[in-house]
Amino acid sequence: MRCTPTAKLLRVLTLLLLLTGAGLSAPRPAAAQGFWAGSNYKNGLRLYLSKDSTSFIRLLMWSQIWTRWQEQNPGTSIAGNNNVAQTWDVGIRRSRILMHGQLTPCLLVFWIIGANNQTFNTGGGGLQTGPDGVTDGKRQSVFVHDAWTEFKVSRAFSLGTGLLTWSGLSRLSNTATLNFMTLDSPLYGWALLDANDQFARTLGVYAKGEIGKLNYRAVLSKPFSIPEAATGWTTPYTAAQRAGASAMTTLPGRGAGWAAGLTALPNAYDVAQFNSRAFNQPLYQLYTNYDFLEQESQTLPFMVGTYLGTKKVFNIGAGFMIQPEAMWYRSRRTAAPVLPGGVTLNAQQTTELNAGRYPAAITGFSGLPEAQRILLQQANVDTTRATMRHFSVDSFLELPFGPKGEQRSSLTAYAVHYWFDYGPNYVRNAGTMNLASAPTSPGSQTLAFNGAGNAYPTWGSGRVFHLQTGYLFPRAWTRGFGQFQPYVSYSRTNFDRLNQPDNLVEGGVNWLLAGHNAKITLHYRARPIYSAATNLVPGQEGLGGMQVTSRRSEVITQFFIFF
Amino acid sequence: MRSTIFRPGVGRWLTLALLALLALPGLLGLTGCINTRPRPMSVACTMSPAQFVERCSALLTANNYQLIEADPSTNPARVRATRGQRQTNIGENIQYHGPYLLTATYAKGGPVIVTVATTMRRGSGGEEQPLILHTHDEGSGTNPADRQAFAPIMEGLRRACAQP
Repeated sequence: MRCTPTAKLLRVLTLLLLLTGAGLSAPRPAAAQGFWAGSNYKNGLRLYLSKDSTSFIRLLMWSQIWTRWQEQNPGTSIAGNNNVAQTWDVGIRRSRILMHGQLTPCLLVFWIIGANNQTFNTGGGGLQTGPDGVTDGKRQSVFVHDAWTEFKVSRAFSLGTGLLTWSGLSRLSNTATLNFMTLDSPLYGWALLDANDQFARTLGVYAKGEIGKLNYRAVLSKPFSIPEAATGWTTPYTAAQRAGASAMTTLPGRGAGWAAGLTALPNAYDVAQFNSRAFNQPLYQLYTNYDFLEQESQTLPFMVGTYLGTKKVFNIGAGFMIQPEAMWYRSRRTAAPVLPGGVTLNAQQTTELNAGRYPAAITGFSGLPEAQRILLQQANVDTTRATMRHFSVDSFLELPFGPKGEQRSSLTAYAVHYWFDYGPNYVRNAGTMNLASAPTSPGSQTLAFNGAGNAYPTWGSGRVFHLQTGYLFPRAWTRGFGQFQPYVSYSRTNFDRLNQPDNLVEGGVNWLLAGHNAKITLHYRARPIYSAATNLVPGQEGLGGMQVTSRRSEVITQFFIFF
Repeated sequence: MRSTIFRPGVGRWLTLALLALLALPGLLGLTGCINTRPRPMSVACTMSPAQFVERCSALLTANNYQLIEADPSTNPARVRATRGQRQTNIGENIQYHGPYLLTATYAKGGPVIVTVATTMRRGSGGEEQPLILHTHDEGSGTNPADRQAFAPIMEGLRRACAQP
């Protein structure tokens, strides 16, 4: 059942009323700091192990809870319900504990454990008990996110190793999760997210340092392996490929969750996918930036989203992420199509082959004898490995206005431009905390290129520009009511494979009850819906020609506390 | 299977280049040519060594330093003090500055020489020489937060030395 505009409006108004009511009913003491502003918090739980405070163990814990109303992508199946138009849910975006130990200022050990993205239907611990036979939402698995050690030689050079958040490419690739300005990360910077990294972390070695006001972080990683079944082909042609069945099948057991879009190498020329046989190829990453005003901390990898006016920062940065042979794709073995001896095609099939159509996409291919199907593909199709190469330039600004205290306001802005190269025509859809179990008709082409749930094209070969800006109003304006920070973001994604770039505008407001330590964020997004693939692109039949046809809305409220 | 885009051998060069990139700052750091070389700051002065020790000690104490040595009888007269580490949470991240070791020396007729360094541990005795992690001066290469730790001392010494 589709939600009428009036019903939608009612839901949004109810949500706003609840939020406003909660604030109005809060006690409002006379102190300018406010009831909510946890001025007594200081630096949180820290156990000092030496008299001079240089040896300590620090503990942080946090939860980010999302309540959402979402329109779903066309053809979304959730928990056995087909073609779900819209739904609501409460989910755990992040729930983590951080431990940071400093034996001396030169020896550091760091650890984060936690869970992410649990919804009522997805994100569970691996028991395949859902109505669709995929992983359900129960018994979320807790895992180690970060585990690394660092040895500091000087301010200019520290060396560390382990399971690392330390990353190259851009500020967003190293983003902190406790001081976002927008609701969450726009994801673009986590360019390998759960493909061959683990939740934006890799096993590797890093060097970091500050030379004057120039900061750098260089990382050499051994990427996680990718199951062959997830992205590869096994022996020359699998049964499904011989039959010409669509290769656009999501991973079994993963539903359309985080791994949506990490599909099998498609039956088409020049459409790249992650290479499950990259084995000994390391991942090289570098990010460097120059601080023109105050210098940011690089003690830990997490880069700040907004300082809420506590620092005056302006920097310009650049970075890269390169992995040889990270990708592969099916290529043409010869410049002109070949009809090998022993293969008999009718006139239409011959025309299609000569027009450059991928052999398995030729009309009636599955009706050919198996030996002929194999001969035809072996004569025409090869596999090429490709280097993954991403580059970015970015800039961050935090500009406080007014004196310190309740009159202070601040402007925060961040802009980044990415040049992504995942190999030809790679596009990956992603939807945070995706509720979908599967497309409504599993195994067939989905009704939208996005796939099911709330996914939309997020990474791909091409260019991405992202800009976010927000303004923190002075506390004096709201006193004990907290502080407000409205923000907007704009992303332009222009992926080679899609026939149309997208301009995505999002917006929201942070209600800062105690700075970043306790805040409620209201966020709105209208994601693009790309049409299902067509046969318009020769060699990529059933895989090209996608255009933005509509948008689907979502309203997300985040309740966030950390200390 | 052929690889046309990435030829064998290039990966090795990329690895070597990255390892060199990792090693270079380390070598520079180890040799001390970037951050641990002495960077003394001087203030022209005409007061007596006893006055210097008295005023410098007062300045340091007022700015949360702990004196570990204040001796007008040595030549040059010397004041040494330390300040503990200051830590600030920034979300998951943390920023800390210090501990600092500040040494000021003065011989009649010469300038006051001040050296400031972040050290491994906060010093506790006059003879202790804490391991220096990096030195600071008033130039733009010093982190503003580090500069704040000794800027009031330098200003105070300049004012004191300017007095007839």
